[in-house]
Amino acid sequence: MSEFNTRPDNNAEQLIQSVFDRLTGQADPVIARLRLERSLERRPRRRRVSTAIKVLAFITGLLALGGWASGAPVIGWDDGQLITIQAPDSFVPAAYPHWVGVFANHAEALADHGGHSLIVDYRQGSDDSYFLQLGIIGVSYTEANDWLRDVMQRVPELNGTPYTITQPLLPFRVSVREMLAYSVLGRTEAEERKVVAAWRAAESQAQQVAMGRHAQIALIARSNDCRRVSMVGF
Amino acid sequence: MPVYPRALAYAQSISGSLMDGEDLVQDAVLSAYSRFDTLRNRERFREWFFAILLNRFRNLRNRWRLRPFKLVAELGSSHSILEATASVSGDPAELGYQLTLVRELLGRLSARERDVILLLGPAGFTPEEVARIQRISQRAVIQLAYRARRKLRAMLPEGALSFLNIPAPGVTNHE
Repeated sequence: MSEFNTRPDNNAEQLIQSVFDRLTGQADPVIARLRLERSLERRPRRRRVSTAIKVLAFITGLLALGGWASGAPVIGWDDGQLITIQAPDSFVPAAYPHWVGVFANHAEALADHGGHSLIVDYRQGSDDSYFLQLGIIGVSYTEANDWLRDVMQRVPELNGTPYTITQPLLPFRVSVREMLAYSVLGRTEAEERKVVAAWRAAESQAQQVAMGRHAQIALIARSNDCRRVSMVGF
Repeated sequence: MPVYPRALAYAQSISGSLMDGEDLVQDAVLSAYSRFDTLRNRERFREWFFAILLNRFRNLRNRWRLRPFKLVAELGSSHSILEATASVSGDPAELGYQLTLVRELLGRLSARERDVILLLGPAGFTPEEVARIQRISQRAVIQLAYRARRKLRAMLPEGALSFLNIPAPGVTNHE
């Protein structure tokens, strides 16, 4: 059964073959071409996009978005100032809440300059002397310097005390979504919270910290002074 | 071998109408034009186009855009076909008459048998090509062709071809 004689075998096939041949002979390619051209002109244009092109476009879009997102500039946080002040000779750790209160009382002027976070901490030097450390976020070096000089003039214990101001780099994670939000909306509260958290982590050296609000400023202090900070906040 | 004349004859044979056949080919050409990128092997253009043509015929017939086959007489008597066809067209030698008769004959085959016998015979495809067009095995193609031939053999009586002014087949098959 592998062979099949395709020639007409019976009357019906002969008729079919004969009609087919007559129809073939009648076919006019010129007329067909004219009809086709007319049909093509009247045919609504449908743009068929193949699956491969769709996938390619999707990948290209992702790459473009990724490239843009990874290249989106995030302006450095140059408004974080770390102020280190030589603590008065009378300073003892037990007096730390007092100093939190002192700086909190002057936090309003800091808020007027755009500051939003004030971290009050202290460190002990190698010669057992103490340093007060203030972390300020939201103001430039000049504004921080002016504010501190004003505070020092108003607080006799600090008058004439040497101090330094540095701008530490605080690494913190930023997701692509946050980066996109930053590019579109500018600095957001969520991003600022991250910076504050990074600062707190760096400043407190993983100690627990207390946080309150005073004069529109987030006042951050050591955890054992949480109650005092809360009182200052109110 | 030019594709268009055979495609048109094929379409007119299966649709049983000169106009419907032209519309069918036209539709198939436009369909082929819009998906020309799916033609993998240009040497198999004829197969590819006939596969589109058959698909269009099935789709259009399913949507009743082509006139469905309507048997003008039952198969009880072969003569009744000729008589009923004669009522459609007066002259048996006319193409319209014979085309109507072809439609009646093909309408008594299954769709697969009709496609296979037309593709293998008048359209000039090999069994291998028909198998690719129909997406069935070559063995199935041969079986369908024999089955169609057996049915067709019983449909037209002796002397019918002289009545139609068509010479008798000169070659017998070798089943």
